[in-house]
Amino acid sequence: MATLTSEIDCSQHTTREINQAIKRAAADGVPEVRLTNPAARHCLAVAVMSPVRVVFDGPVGWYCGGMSDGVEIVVNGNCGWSVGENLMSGSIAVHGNGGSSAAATIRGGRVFIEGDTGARSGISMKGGTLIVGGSVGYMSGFMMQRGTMIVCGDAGDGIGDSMYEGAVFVGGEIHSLGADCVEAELTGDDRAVLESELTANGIDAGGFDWKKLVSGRKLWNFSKHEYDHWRGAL
Amino acid sequence: MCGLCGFLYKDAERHGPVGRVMFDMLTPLDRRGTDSTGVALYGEPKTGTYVLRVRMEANGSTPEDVNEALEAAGTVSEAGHTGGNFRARIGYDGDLGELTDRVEQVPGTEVFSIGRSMEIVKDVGDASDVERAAPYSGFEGSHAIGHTRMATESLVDVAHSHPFWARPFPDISVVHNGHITNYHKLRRRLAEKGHRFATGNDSEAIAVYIADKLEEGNSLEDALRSSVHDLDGTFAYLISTPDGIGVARDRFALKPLLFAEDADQVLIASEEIALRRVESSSDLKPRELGAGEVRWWLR
Repeated sequence: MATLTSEIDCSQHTTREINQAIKRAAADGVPEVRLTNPAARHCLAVAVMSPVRVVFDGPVGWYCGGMSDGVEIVVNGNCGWSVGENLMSGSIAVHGNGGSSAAATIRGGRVFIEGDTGARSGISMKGGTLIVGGSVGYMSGFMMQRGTMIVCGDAGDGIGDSMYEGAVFVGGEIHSLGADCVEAELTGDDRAVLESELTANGIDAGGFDWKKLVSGRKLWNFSKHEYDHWRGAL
Repeated sequence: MCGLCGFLYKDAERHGPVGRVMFDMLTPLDRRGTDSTGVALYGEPKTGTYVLRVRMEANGSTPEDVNEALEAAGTVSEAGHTGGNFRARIGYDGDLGELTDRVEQVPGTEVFSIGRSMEIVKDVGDASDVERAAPYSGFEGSHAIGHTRMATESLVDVAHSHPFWARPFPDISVVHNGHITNYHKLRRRLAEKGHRFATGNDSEAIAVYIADKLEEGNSLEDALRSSVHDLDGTFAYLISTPDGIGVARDRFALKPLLFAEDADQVLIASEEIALRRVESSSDLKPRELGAGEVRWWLR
């Protein structure tokens, strides 16, 4: 197995060349690829299907790590919209702020954003874990189907709107709940999950006033007798 | 899908290469549309004079025709042109609507902007195309806004390119990404108050709407906050005035917009890739504007 770290200066290559180099390094068993000067370029490290550690020294643009499976990505900077979209497994850690739609439709793995993220973070999650060290924007957790979202800061309006399953934990203020999103009792198991997930990212879970949000399940099946629920949701 | 950018020096006395900053920020935003590109640049105002930017259609009138129309209204200086882009300074103390009409009576002309300090440069194509047609990257000034356009409804031509001047209000312009769905009603209300429009573009209505609010005595902050409720549809926009830049995002946060600032400067863009072309420091931490959020920076 190769032991060298591969290094790529993004400023010298096209996005296609960079992504091909990452995949080639992963296929060759190189444990780590280090990339400099990403300069917020879009679509970096997408569809990486082999276990490799990818470190960006600088900000990345939209869709970083999207459609990947088993990759470990570290971004020493911000990221743009839809970081880790449809991630299957692995991890993405962003040491900066994120954009909108962070971890959209992820099916597994962990996405950690140290700072704030924008609107619709964790939209349509189908598994996995999204951890936001700061606050999330409008309609985050919209149509969540499975998985866990942990927000250490505040949640914008409409958090958890129309979620089917899964759980959202908010440590700060909740501006407003979305349609059919309700607060549930925080259990000992929940606290254990929070401590485990946050400690792994260098955050003390004890310093927050945690609220747990789940689906009210009123929208699971249509009933003409509950017209008001549907009118509010639609 | 359009690309927006803005830049401002916070120090009221400071001027710098804002034309170059716009060119550098607009270049990577070309992926958000290259139907047209434009900038509104704010230079050093000269007391008692306005600077005009006028577009002359090919095979239309000559610069001499435009100059003649201006000389009938005031004292003209610094007159010159690059291709179809005419620029002049005029000593004038009359109504700017009348001055605009006087110039546009010359066949084939359109007044892009009139201001004490603002100059609008725009054309079809990307940032480099516009730089070739009407060089702006050498412009020194206090602040600027820029736009790359992917046309969705109105025509792909120079007239429908951004920025839009809030005619006839001097020094106010807008760049917008999105679609204002109630702009017919908004435009009708403004027209009933006597305001006029150069195009049927929804974005132009934002510029006139904000200028009208300011004329009524509202602060830029109040005008921005009102717009979030009065404008229907999707939008992220930048409005520039002689004193600064304001930004607003619709209540659904459907169009991207982020900003970063330090003690000296403010940078605004649709995507961080534009910011990083002019400021690579990791100390600069861009943040997305929230749903329905407004911000403003005055020099």
